[in-house]
Amino acid sequence: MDLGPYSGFILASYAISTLIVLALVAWVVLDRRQLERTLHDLASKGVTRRGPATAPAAAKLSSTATDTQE
Amino acid sequence: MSERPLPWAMTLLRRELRLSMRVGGGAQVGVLFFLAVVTVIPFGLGPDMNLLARIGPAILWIGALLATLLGLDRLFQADRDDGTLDLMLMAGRPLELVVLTKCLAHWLATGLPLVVAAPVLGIFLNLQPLAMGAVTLTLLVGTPALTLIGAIGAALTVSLRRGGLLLAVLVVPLAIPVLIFGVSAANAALVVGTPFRAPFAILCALSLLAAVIGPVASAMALRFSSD
Amino acid sequence: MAILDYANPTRFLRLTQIVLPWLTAACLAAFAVGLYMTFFVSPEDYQQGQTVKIMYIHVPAAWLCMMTYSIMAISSLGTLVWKHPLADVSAKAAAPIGAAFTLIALITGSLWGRPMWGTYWEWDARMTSVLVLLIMYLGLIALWRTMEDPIRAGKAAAVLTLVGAINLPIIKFSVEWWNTLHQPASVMRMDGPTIDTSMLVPLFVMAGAATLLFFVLHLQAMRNEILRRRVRAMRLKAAAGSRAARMAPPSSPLSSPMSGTPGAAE
Repeated sequence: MDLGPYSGFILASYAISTLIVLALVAWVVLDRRQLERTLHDLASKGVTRRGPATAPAAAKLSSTATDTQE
Repeated sequence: MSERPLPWAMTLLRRELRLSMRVGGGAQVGVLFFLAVVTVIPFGLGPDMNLLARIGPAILWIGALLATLLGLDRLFQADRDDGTLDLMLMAGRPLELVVLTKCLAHWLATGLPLVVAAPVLGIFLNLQPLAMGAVTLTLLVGTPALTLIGAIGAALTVSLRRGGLLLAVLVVPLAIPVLIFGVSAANAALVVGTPFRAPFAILCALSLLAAVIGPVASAMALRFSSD
Repeated sequence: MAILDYANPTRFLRLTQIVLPWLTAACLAAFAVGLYMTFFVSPEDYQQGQTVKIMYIHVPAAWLCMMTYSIMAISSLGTLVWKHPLADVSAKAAAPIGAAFTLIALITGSLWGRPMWGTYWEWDARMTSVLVLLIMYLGLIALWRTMEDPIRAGKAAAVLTLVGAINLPIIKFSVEWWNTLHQPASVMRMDGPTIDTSMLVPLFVMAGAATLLFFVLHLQAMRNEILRRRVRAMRLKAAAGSRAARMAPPSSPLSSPMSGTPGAAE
């Protein structure tokens, strides 16, 4: 396949686009892996979204709730 | 509905003006910055009077844009810091009108001096009287739009400790149309055959549009930042 | 309230878990077909020669950077008007993807422009508007990054996104006006109907593949964002719990599930 006199430009645009897409994929995958690890760690420490270990308060953290804490 | 909207708005306007005029209000810094920008550009371009005359309107417009952006971060922040903003939110007045009044005061204190200074700075840039008049007129019509659009950025960044730079980044894309039509209308006085009325009319339309979108969006952002 | 807020993201996580593998497979297949057609089937352009191959990524990227902003604008409406709990998640997850596609559109456009126009950058109306769009994407991302509370940041970003959505047509119009003022119609045009079917088919396949890629990335980024908020909520809970434990010994918990403050039991 002959890409003609401007093959450099064509290949460069495909290469750069691939790189950017790969960076996006890497961001998404690594982000997920790290978040899942953190969630796992927190869960193994007994923290749940409904509170640490013993506290059964099921109140969810809305913005108003965080504001009253601060 | 016995109450007319004007008295409290006038009171607010007077308060804002007094605050911005007093020591520490910072209204005069904008003009100084404008002067500094216009002074610095010939050092970058070289003292070519013909070139300066040709791009003079653009320099003045960009200087005015930067000076407006510089002063905007204090538009709501001082009021938020001392709690006045919360009182304004609770006072039950239409927040959009409060924002509009504050913008008007801010423009009177920082925008209008830029317009007044523009002809003086035009002398440095070798502008002919006609071009000087055109620039001043377009700035008079266009700088309110810059303030009103900038108010959105100021309201969005009000809760940030150092929102000034972010504000500029957020507002610049929205200010591009104002800049384009302002400079185009001003250039009509320089280049023969370019239209003045069409870009000037669009500039006026942009200012009016900004007077609607700016207060509405800023008020929305201010409400969200406080709840 | 609490049930609605919680059930929706959880259901979303479960649903996307099922959908995502299929979507990813479809995306990969579409790219395989599209790239094969691009390089082995589609002909040279009689004017542009082989450089027309850049079109098959440039045009889909340009299409996606506009579609992404539209999705963000609709999501912002969802945040501000309907208060949908996933709307700001969707908008936040879309922004970096939109910025990346905008960057691709700019870079490929500039690499296409060099052989065709002789310069890497031409201040032509389309490229200038896309550059402005990139600045808006980056500004939105910066706004999200500066605010700690995701809900507050989401609302602020939604206001800005909607203001931008109103402004984008005005910016587009003014840039076009400015462009015709300065250089009367010198740049080449690429109108739809003049493209031959032999190029249109690969272009559509590539555009479809890129759209699928967007949805795969967007759904996964939304999942990540939901997980990030859970981590944040758990950390805040843990911090509040340890603080409460230090302040007072835990008594019998009586707090109702609807109570707004986590420390209500103490």
